[in-house]
Amino acid sequence: MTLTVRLFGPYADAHGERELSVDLPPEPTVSLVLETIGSRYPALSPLMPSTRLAVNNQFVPPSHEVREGDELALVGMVGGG
Amino acid sequence: MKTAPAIEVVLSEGPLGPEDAVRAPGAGAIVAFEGVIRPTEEGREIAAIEYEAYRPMAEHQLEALARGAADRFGLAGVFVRHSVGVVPVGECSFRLIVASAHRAPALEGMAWFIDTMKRDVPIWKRPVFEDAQERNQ
Repeated sequence: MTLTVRLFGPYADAHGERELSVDLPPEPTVSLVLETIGSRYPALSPLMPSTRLAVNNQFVPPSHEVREGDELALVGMVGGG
Repeated sequence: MKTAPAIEVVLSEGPLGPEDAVRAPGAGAIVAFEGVIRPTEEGREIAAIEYEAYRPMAEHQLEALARGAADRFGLAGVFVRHSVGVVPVGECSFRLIVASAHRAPALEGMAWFIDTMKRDVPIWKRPVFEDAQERNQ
């Protein structure tokens, strides 16, 4: 399955676009998604250690399985307030 | 019967303007915090900060955080305002108002909220440097 992942802030700056696509086996775990992104997109790899995958507007555990149609985004260090 | 806490989250474009006093049922303490843009960032003069939000998740997380603070500290109300877009130096970009029966839970709840927000709410800031802005004119 092909997943689309939204990018903001430093991720969009590093990637140069506001989203990326990544091909994965059906219902991959969050940790597999993050690992694959880090290896497939070297420009993002420095950011990956502090990165979480948001699934449908929430943080989920690394073992969570991503499904077709889920909204995904990379969220790492943030800076509100 | 315990009254449900008043919870309000607003993301709005540009600097936050003044607002009316906030009240919440049974509250004897209203504590307000404002985040204002400082004139320097990373040791350089800035003209403004530009905030970018992953808006649906930011609103979701801020609301969950406000409810979490209300539950954890027994608060009567949590009112959150955060800017998106460009906020010039000296202007307010974040306002948190917390209401509770007594001051201690309000002060503790406020600190907990801000610490957690800075970790879990997808809002990013980008400095707009003075010299960069002069070059664009």
